[in-house]
Amino acid sequence: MDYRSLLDRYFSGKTTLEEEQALKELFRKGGAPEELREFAPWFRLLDEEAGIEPVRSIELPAQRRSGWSTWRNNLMRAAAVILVAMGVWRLAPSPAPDKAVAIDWSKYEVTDEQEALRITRAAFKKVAQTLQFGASTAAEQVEKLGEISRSAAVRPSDRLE
Amino acid sequence: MKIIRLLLIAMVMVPFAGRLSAQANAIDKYFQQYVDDERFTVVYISPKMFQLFEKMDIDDLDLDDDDDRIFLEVAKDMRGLRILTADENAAAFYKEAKAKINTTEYEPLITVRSKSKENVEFMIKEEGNKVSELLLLAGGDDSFVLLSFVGSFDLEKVTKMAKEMEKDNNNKIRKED
Repeated sequence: MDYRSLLDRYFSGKTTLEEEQALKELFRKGGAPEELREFAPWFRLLDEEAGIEPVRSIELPAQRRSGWSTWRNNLMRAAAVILVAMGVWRLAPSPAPDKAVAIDWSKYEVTDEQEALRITRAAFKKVAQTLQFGASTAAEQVEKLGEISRSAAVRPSDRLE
Repeated sequence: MKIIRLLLIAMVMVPFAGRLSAQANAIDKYFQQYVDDERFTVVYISPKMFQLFEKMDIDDLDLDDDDDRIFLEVAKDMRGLRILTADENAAAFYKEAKAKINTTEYEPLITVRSKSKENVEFMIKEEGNKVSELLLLAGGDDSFVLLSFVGSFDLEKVTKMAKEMEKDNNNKIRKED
C-alpha cells in the first residue's frame, strides 16, 4: 500500500473510515516506513485523546422560565403567525386586481422650451380663471344673501306704515 | 432575535408601502384606461424642462406682459405638469375622475357647481408647510380638463399670479373694446 499518498489524502480529508483505521493501525503497531515516522506523534495523540475518561459527571440544572418570559414568548409567536398570515394574504393574487401599469408619460412630453413655456402659462391661466370664477361665484352668492337679508329687514317697518 | 424583529417590522411595512405608491399615482390610476383613447389630448412637461426654465434669461423669452415675471417665479417652483383634456363626453369624464381620484389626500380649495357653466374642483396636496400638488378638475358641456402641477408651491404666490393674470386679461379686453 502506498502510505505516502494515503497520508496525503488523509490530511486532505479525502480518506474513507476504513483507510483512516488502517493508517491508525499502522502507526499504533509501529510498522510505518522510516520516512513516515514523523507523523507517528499525531496518531499517538489521537489515541491518547480517545482514551480520556470524564473525571466526574455534571448535572445541568433544569432551565427555569418566569411566567412573564413564557407569556412574552407566546405573544411573540402569535404575532409572528399573524404577520406571516397577513404577508401571505397580501402576496396571494386578489380576485379582481387593479391594473397597476405605470404610464409612460415621456410619450407625451413637450421637448421644445418655448412650447413648454406657452403651455405652462396657458395652464396657469386656466388656474387663474378658475380662482376668479370661484371668487366671482362666491361673491354673487354673498350678494344674493345680502339682498335677502336686506328685504327681510325692511318688512317689519313696512308693516308699521 | 434582532433579525426576527427586523423581519417583523418589514412585513408590517410592506402593505403600507404599497398603499403609499398607490396614492402617488392617483392620476395615473384614472388615466390608465384612457392611455390609447384618442378622445384625450395629453401633455406632459417634465421636471427637466422646468429646470431649464430656471436657466432661461427672461429677456430672451417671448413674454411681454406685466404678469410674466411672477408667472416665471411660480413656474420655477414646479417639477412637473400633466394635462388631460377631452372635447367630448366631458360631464361623464369629470364624474369618473372625481370618483377615481382619491380626494382624501387632496384638500379642496374651490368647488363650483353651476347649472349653466362648468363644474370645477380645485384641490391641493400639502406636504409640510408647502403645497406639493395643485390639481384642477373641470368638466362642463364642452370640455373636460385635468391639470396636475407638481412641485413645491407657495399658495400666496400662486394667488398673486392668478390676480395679476386676471388683471392683465381684463386690461386687454378693455383695450379691445
